[in-house]
Amino acid sequence: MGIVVLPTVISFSRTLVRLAIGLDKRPELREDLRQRVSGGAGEGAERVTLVEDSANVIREAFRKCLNERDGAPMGLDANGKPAGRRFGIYTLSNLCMKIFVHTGKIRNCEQIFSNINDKSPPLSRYPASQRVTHLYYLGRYHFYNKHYYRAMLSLQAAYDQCHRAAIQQRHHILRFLICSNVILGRFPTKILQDRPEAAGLAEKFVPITWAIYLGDLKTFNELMSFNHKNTSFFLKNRMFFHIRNTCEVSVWRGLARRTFKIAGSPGDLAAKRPPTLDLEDLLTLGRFLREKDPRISPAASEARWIHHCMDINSQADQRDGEATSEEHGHQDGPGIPNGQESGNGWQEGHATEEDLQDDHANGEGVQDDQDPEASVQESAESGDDQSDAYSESDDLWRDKTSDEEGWEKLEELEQEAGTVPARELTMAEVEATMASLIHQDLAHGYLSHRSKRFAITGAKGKSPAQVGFPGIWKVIEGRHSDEVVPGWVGDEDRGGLARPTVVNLKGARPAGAAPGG
Amino acid sequence: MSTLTIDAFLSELDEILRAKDGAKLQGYLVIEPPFTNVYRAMVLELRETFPMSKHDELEVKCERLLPENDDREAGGSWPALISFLVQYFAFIRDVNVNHLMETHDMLKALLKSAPYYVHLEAHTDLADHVPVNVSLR
Repeated sequence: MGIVVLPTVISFSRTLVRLAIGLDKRPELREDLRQRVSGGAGEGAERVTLVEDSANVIREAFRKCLNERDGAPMGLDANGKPAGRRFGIYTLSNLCMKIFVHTGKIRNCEQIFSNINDKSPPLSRYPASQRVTHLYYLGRYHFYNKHYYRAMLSLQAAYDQCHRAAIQQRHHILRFLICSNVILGRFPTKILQDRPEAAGLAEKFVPITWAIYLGDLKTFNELMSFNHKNTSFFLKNRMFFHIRNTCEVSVWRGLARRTFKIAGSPGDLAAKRPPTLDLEDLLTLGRFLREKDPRISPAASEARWIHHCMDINSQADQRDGEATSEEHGHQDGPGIPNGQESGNGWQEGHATEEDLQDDHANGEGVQDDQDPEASVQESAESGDDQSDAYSESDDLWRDKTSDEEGWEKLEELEQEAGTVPARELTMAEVEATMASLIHQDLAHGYLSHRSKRFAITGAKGKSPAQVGFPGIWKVIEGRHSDEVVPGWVGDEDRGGLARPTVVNLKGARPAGAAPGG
Repeated sequence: MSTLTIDAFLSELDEILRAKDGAKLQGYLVIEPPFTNVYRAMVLELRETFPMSKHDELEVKCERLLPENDDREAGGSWPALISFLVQYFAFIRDVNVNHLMETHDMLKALLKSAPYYVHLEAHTDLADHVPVNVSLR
């Protein structure tokens, strides 16, 4: 009758979670823990954090609930409620989830969801508060894994089932629900924006939706820059990079559509010429919008840094310079570290031309940033020793990513020069973007690379803009119409043996034997 | 010092266990200060009569006042539960909210010792050896 202890276990677990999270937020109280671990633990001992340790204990309790072996069909008792210890499953899993989300280790939820998927009774049999909380965390987990459609389904269900008066909870759900939907191309209406639980969210998300709709690359880049006032909200909720990376595609789609409406050629139905969009127009507009980009400075510095690397030396450095441009190619503004850590670096502040040249020749480069001074000295001393580029495999590789002096150089360059135009948008990029839109079914037609045009197919008698650039949500919904959300156990999932599950034979007993405890 | 409060507490627990009332048990096993008068009295008695050195005596007392039932199905205590309760008593006796780290560790240990299975200690081995005719088709 271990079940009699279960409510106590749950109540203790709640307290433990509160205690663990409270301690996590106050590192000064954890000082003695650090001493304990380093003093007593052996070399192979795993240093699990305080909160993870607590999560493990609760997870054990969760497993014991899940592994109830009383043989109840579908895990339910005569009243259709979860039988035996199973009633504690979601309460305990939600407590674990709370810890994981607090520590930012959402990926640790995976095992729990997987276990639930295999063995739990249907979610619908549990009280609303447990259902809503579970679906919320499930939605966040799918969001983290970039399965935005699944996230939307879970979060929408959580929102629908959450009591109307629970404004705080509904607000939390809505944050991620709106975000998922915006990414999927579905925007919140005024009705939703006016609800009390949506307070403050409209001003964060609506500007993005306008930028997407209008294809306004400039505004979108402004909104998604590190300087923008809303950025801290998105970063804190761990949605910033999701929005920035996925919605950019939507913005380009909007831009292409708008360009077509402004300057596209309607074609000639009789002459069987399809409506087309001249990619030069798109290029012009794209360049115009990018030039007004307030983040121009880092891109310009990036360009200068590339030139710098390329000017210093010929082929060897060109190879390196390209690698550099790839690494730094996607850095933005204040995201670049300000070189504080390169304290032990170059005394003179930057490498001289000869030093870098010798680095390449000797293949030593700056492999560990622990003693770059030493390697500078070495290369300076052996300056005349220009060994063959292929004599050692070290010559072919350079551990560039641990270089610290590069950041200092970048800053210097930024300070030196004035405004330099950003690296210009190229036709190749425009073609690639259109190709990717076509590939994702966000643009319907084909590209002619020779004439640099995008031709819309299937536009007979219908608006070419509608056919050529179908709505994002429509496309995505069509793709996911039969979506199953892992971690969400429906009633149908436990009917018979439809789902493959793990069958544990340990509790097996001969037919006719009395049921065990 | 007498242990009136502890005795009363235990006999009430006995009734709860026989009734298999999980919710009521949870209500009784309070861990968060500030404690009410009853619990404060109990803590004092524990510190006086059953400090850490008298761990075994405490266990004996619990066993006496929470007798096991022969028929496990009818409720009542079992060995693992007694250990759990002893650990609970130790917790409320020693908990000091000024040392949150230790409190956390103690609570973690208490939670780990929660007994889910009634038969775990006694019958695990036997269960493994019981012959079964199971068709794997």
